[in-house]
Amino acid sequence: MEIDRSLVSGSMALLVMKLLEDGDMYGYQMTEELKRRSDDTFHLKAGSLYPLLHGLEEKGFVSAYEREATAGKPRRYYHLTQEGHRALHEKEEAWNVYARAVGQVLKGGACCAGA
Amino acid sequence: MQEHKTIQSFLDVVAEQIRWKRARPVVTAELERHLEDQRDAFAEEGLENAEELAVEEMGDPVSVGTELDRVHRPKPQWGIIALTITLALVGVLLRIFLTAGWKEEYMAVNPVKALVAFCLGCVALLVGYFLDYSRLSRHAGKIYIGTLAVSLVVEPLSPVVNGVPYYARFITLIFPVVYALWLYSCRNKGWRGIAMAILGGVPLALYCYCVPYTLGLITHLLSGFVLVLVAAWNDWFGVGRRKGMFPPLACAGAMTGIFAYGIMALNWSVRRLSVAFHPEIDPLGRGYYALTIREALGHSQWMGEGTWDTRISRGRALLREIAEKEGFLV
Repeated sequence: MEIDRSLVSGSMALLVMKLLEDGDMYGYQMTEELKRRSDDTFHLKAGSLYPLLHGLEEKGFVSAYEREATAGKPRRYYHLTQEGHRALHEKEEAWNVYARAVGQVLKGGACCAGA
Repeated sequence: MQEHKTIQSFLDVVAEQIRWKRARPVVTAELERHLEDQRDAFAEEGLENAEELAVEEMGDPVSVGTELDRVHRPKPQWGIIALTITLALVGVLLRIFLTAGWKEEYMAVNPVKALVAFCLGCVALLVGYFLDYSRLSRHAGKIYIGTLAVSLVVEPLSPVVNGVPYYARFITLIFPVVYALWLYSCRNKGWRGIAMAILGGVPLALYCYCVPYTLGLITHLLSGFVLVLVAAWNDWFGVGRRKGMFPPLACAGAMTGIFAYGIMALNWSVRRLSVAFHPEIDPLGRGYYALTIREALGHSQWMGEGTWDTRISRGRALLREIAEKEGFLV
């Protein structure tokens, strides 16, 4: 089943920052890891990923540095900053509230959520 | 949409969209690594056209570049902006204070009007500095047609001052910007784009000519010519640099010839030009004010008021007035 892109785009920053919470990564690694963790559901195009990463860097949520990867080529790694950690927790909380609310609506209302 | 099948062609298009040149190498190097990784991964899977597929995976290079352009903007040069505004303010205050004693004449600058003009100028400066021109370029055709329509409506409704519709002259001030946007919309359209670029300047030039506003016409023609040449030099039209520069150069040559012939053919134009260079030919007619300025400056001093006869009318010339009344050093 194909996922509507508009459903994904709003939460992409959250997903990328969540990946970086576990360790520094470079762009290609992130797209692959996202595919793996989502059972091949999220195919993040590089054309969307890099503007997003650079925007997060501009906001101070991530920082970037160059390092040689295993293949010997220099890569631009991204690191989640302290500010990024705080922003991630806020986004996660907001997402949980949102997801719970959507779930309740889909199940017929708050009163019936547990039913 | 143009096809971009190789990594290099994809990167070139992305880099073209990023206006801040210093950001380009960092961005393209990162994208290049990503594309190479993707290509290698596809190749390992045994796919033959791995590079083409990797490029396809990236999406539209124009959209990618535009998105990255939004993120990578140079920091506002607040120091330069503040200096510009301060210099303009100093100029306004000097004009007000230096002309304050000239109320009995006609040269006293109205402080309220001068400060309103200063504020409007500051707003225009800030809008011009921070405006995202790439957004405007998406509506170049509408802006061009809209400007022409507004100009045509304003012209008959304007009060006529010195034989010219007053507001029509001010509208021509935005023609260079409108024409630049029009030119931008002609990018990558080949010979058709060049024809559109040149023909797009004609209605604007005709408007200036019909108002009539010679200074506006000259400004529009000169700025338009420079813009088309720069566009052709950067191969905006996609026909090659030299080939692209030929049509605008030929048009400019033809127009210069017609203009020179027009001046020579019209007796009054020759007389005006002669008087401009030799005002003494017509001392009580067209050369009068030029001669009074020359005389007044001849009798001015480094500091303090000059010694020329104050009863003679000198016309409107602020710099001469300041030099004569306060001295050259002021």
